[in-house]
Amino acid sequence: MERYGLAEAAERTGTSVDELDRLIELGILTLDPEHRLAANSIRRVGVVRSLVAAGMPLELLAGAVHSGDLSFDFLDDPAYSRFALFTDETFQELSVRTGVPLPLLMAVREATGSRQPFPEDRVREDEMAVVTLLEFQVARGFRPFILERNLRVIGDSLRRIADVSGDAWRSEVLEPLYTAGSGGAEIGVASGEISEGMTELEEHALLAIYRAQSVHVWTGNIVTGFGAVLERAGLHDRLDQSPAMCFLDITGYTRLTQERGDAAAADLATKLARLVERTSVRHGGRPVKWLGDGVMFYFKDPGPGVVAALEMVAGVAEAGLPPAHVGLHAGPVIFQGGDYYGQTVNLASRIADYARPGEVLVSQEVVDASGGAAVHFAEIGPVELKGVSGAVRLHSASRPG
Amino acid sequence: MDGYELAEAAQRAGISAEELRRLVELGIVSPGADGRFTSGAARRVSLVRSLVDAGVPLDGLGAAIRGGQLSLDFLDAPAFERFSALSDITFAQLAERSGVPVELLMLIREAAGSPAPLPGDLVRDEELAFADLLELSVHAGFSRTATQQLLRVHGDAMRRVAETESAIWASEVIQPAMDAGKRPDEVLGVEFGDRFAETSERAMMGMYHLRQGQAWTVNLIDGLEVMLAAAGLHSRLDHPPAMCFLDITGYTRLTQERGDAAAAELADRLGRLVQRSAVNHGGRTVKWLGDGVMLIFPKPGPGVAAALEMVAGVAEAGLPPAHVGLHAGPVIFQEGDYYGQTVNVAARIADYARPGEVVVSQEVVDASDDAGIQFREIGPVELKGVAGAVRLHTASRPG
Repeated sequence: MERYGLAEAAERTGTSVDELDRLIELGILTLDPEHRLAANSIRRVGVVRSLVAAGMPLELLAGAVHSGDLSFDFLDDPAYSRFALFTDETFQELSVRTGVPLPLLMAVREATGSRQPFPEDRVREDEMAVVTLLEFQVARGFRPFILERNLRVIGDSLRRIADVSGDAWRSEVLEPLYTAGSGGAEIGVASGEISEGMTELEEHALLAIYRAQSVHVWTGNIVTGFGAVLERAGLHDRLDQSPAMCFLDITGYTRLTQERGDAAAADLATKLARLVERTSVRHGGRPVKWLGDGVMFYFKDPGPGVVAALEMVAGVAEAGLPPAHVGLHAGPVIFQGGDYYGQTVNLASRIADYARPGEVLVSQEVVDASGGAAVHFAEIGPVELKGVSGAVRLHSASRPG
Repeated sequence: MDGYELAEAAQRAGISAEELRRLVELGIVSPGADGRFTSGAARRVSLVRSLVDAGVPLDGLGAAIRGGQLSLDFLDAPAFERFSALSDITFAQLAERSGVPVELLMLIREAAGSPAPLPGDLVRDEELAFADLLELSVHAGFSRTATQQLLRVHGDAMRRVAETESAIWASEVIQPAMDAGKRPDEVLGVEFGDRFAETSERAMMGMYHLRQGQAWTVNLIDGLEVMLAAAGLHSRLDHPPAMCFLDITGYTRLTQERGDAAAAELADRLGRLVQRSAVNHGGRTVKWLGDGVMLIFPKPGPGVAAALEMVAGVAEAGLPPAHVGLHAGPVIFQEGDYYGQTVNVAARIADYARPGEVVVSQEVVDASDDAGIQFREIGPVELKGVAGAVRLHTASRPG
């Protein structure tokens, strides 16, 4: 176990020697006979700081530790090494050493959900793993602004997983213990038993899903590349087809929340999510994001997108959910930071707004691209849509027969 | 002995023996000298299926491979082990063995972005890692709802990461290389064989640890508060959070007038600006909506300060004016998102706010203690989809 003198421990935890002295005096930190602090024990500093920031007075914490009502010993467990310490390198120094532009390095801190750092702030241990990747990419000519955007997507996505996982831990493990009236030490032991092994399994599981998802997208890249090569060799005609963007809204979702309550509305959102995800994936599409009262989808091919939309509307009705209405439009889109942008997206959303409950409305572009699909289209004529200049030719889609 | 006989290789790749024979004939897959197929062969088969599904003709593919214009050899690089073969156990059998309900196990396939399987389908090698976690969670007493949520959020979040990385890979590596006349399979082989895949996984785990540290801290604070309260040393003040919506005025029109790239660029700049203000005031962005952002602030007061800062920042950056709505009250956290009436009312307040305005509910005013912020009552207002009038105030920072 590594040990630090007071000055070094203060630097590693981003605090002052005075502050450490105070924590030692209060019995929260303990010095060893050589007046040093163990590396795992100084993680307490950051946790105590968060507690104080959350409104718990330091003296009160110290009193509770003293009386045995509280203990920070669980933090010594290796699993808590994610309460990372600082390295001995600043962002500024690291930028010089690695050749990664300083603003990009500092964006790592922000992507982890922390405040923007100063160039002379020290880098955290876990941030170093990200820096290694950036160094690799920058050296190969990846443009920094693209990498910065990527950092935000990764940070934001992992935040969602960490939050949901932390929340599950609270509701499934900790709360039953609180309810049973367990004391601090008991909770430490009981949750320690469950967390043993789980932390590691969680990481494997996360990587497994990441790898599986990357297979889908790498496959997409390979397919595009191969198509281009075959075309060059005259062995294949590539059809450059625009994707379709699709919006599905639930009629009266706000009113439903008001009438049936928050829990019912949240439950409806989960049911809807499951149903539409399944249907869209089966037709080569995927939900991009969940909006306030509906879902935005991307379909590589417009034809299957229309079929999926009709299935979803029928599925929503069968499941006893309030009726859905859908809009689809096909055209070029910009993919950025895990989301899609552009006029095609906006127009699809406006078409969905215009659709009546239970209706699937599509643009002329979608009809033109849906040659092989088993769908019937009825033109409803040119329509003026909010925020869109000029009239748009819309069609209502239905299943034949 | 390594490798599989033809029949087993076909099963692990999820195709019929007939189809595998055809791929051998076309020269797309070859068995070793001993007539056995490696796991690399199984990966070739599943990639070929994807190519065919995407409309690439099998004959053309075979001709290009035989003619040396293309090669699938890059699939032998270690990074491509993720194009994993099927294991020899079905979902139903795994459920039996692990005690995890089969419906839950089958959700792994969906979280990985594939269509729902049947209980009799073979589990993929890579999926077994998640099954281990489910087994432990189920035995630790995790409810089915909580486990399902975990799965869905993993799938959704990792999809975004993988898609974004892949787009970067396409724009920063493959496209430039192809423009320079290289073949895609050459680029993939060399670069992926390099440290990229491994380095990026390490980076992701590093970032995940930091995020976990924050999420765990929330639990810690919560737990310590419970214990201190039980010991009579501290009284918990339960203050509900504030939900906040910031919209950009005329975003749709702007897209139409200035073009897609300008609109995407605006979203990017707005994202950075809003994120920074939120974090500085203890809040964070929950999601990006079509023409704005949804945020949560554990404390309503700092939320109002952040909103005022954001509106000013948006104006300074020369972006179209923003308008913001905040409402405080109970919310339901589920699958990484927030639900409930508080969320809806906040969104409606934002709709009601005029360009450049920050409008808040009475609940937000009551929970704010920032002396530097002034509230001016607008009076009771009828909001769309909300029953009854709502008392609204505009917020400003005088001086």
